[in-house]
Amino acid sequence: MNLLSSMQKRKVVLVILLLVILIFLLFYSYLEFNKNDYPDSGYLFAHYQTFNNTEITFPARIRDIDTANQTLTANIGDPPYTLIEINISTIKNTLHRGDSIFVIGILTGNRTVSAERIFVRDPGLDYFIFISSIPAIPYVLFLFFRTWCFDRKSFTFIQRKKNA
Amino acid sequence: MPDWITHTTIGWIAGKVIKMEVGLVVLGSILPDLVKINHIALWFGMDLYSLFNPFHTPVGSLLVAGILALFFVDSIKVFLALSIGITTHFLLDFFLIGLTKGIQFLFPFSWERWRFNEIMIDYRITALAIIAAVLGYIYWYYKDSKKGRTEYKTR
Repeated sequence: MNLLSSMQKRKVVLVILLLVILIFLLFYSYLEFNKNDYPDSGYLFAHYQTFNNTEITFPARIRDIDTANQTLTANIGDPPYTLIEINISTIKNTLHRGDSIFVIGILTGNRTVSAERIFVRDPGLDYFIFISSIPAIPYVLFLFFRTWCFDRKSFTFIQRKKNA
Repeated sequence: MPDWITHTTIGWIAGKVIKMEVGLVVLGSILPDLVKINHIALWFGMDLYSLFNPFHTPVGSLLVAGILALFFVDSIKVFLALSIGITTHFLLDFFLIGLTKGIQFLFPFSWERWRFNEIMIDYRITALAIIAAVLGYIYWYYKDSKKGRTEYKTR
């Protein structure tokens, strides 16, 4: 019978220990996430009293721009949208109706925000990220398995011999 | 978060610069995005982001790197290479806004998220990373071939 070497035994114990810690962290996050994590924009505006006069960040889509009053109205979240009013008196960007934006600003009241910065997002960006991420998977696998192969006997990855 | 091409390209450059096993650094550069397993859960109508969130934190990614590294003979060297990749991932995510709420650098001790609110993620970041990698590839290719010629001459 093949007995594990003391080094391998230590590694097995370490793998189990690290796995237990990781699983503990995953479940800790699962149970505590909603109580502790930075809330999404829907929650921020629904509980505006709690976050009043604090800096918030959120994505939105411009519905209308009132250049005379230097404000814009924007939709946030998924349908049915929450409509918010954003003061853009300090913003120098050129904004257009329908722009997908990312706002950093101070929550000033019920569904009102004074913008400090507005970044315009390309509407096709999410699609681009998804599409351009696909070739990365075979690329990573190629780079990894070009150098390493799995040895079933020792249950470890071993380096491929160069010029073999 | 930028796309995986940007992450892996930056990982490749980092691996080349610090002369570590590039395959491992590149693997490390996308390890934090194990959080994307949630997309599989979403197909089945479950949002388990809160469960998988620790994968996208330094502690969670380093734990995964630690577990992976133990399946190699030289575990410490492998762990270091994976950690470099993980670092490049979080640096990129930290400096770019638009897709994540920030990085929970101190999770599980703090839930606070940090982000450098200056650079908006867009196509130019990917283009810049690819251009840098191509230039790097040409540089290292010529450097290696020059080194090879010098070794041949001295024999």
